[in-house]
Amino acid sequence: MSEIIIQTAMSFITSAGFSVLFNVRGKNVFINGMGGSLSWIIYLLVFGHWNSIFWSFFVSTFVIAVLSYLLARPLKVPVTIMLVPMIIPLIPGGLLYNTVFNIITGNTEAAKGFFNELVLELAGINLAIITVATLFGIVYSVKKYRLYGL
Amino acid sequence: MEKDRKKIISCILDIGERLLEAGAEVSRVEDTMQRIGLAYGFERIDVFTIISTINISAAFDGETYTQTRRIRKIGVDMEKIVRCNDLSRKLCIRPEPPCELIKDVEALDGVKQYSFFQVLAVYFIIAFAFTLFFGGSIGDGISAGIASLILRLIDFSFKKLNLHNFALYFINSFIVGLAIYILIGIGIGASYDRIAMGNIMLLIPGIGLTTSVRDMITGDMLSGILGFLAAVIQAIAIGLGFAAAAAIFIGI
Repeated sequence: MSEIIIQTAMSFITSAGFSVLFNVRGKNVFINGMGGSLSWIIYLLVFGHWNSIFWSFFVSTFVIAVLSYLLARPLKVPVTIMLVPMIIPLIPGGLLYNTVFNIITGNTEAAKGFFNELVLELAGINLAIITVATLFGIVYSVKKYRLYGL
Repeated sequence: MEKDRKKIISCILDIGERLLEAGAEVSRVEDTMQRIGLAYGFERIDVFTIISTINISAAFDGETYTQTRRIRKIGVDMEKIVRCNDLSRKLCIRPEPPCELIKDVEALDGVKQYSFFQVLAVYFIIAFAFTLFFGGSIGDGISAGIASLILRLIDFSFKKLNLHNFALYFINSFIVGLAIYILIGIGIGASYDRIAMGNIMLLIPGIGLTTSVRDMITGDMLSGILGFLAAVIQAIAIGLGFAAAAAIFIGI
């Protein structure tokens, strides 16, 4: 339990910290930190429930992406400014490093395992973002051009 | 008037260049440039962007104007993206005459940056947080924080040498790897893997990797492949750097 609290708190710090490195300014740094914590909590919940790497990354990124699209308009910023820092805790940097490091040191079996996981996580994150972007794209087009009589 | 049109195209390229250098997605860069061009009354705008060049071709009254820009350094500067976005929205509503446009474009370079010491402090905090995130103790976190300060100082001083990315990341991770062994040797922190991981998260191109995969799926094939390769090569440089440090201290 304490591990979960530490990880959630640290997710806030890393997301807010990377927001600063990415030159996000003002209150958005704080909002991004909250989003970072949220992404990790959702990941833990889904992973605890279904024990699936792909779906935990997909669902977590999906929720964060929807949130960033909804927040971007009232805050008058591009979606990227919220989305990228908020998914920092999910970014598989450690796996990328482990894959490469094990290939370099000749430990191909271990590298394969890390690589498989890396592909699943990247697929989950990216498919979620693409799904949300497509959905919002459809909504905006329908509204803008009054398609289908809406 | 023809001179004006050339100037306008050049300014549109300036905006695209700044967006791309600030880390905006290729699709956003192309979209923004096209919108501004059309707002200025060009009949047809063709923009082609990959992560190292921007091409724009604009047609007006039977004449075609083509310009190209080479992009060297790509970083992340979200505030600049916000400002470019604001400017583009303003221009699409009311296109400005070239003299005002040039001033507005130059103003984009005046975006506020966090100071050197603020960034240094944030490096410490991020490395500390990631080490705890990966299950390290407070001592490990402090060790990672100190190593990240060294990383930032090395990175900052070596950037002036204009090294290519591979050498830069190799040297950075090699020195950080050494620093962590030394810190553990003098009793700050214990778990090498966790301390290293806290610093690796600052180095590794996780965002670049994620974005490039998305570019590939959504159709910006070339940018996706280039970004993907750049991320993999950077990861190899980092892996080699840490492996070299490990080879010196424990031998592989």
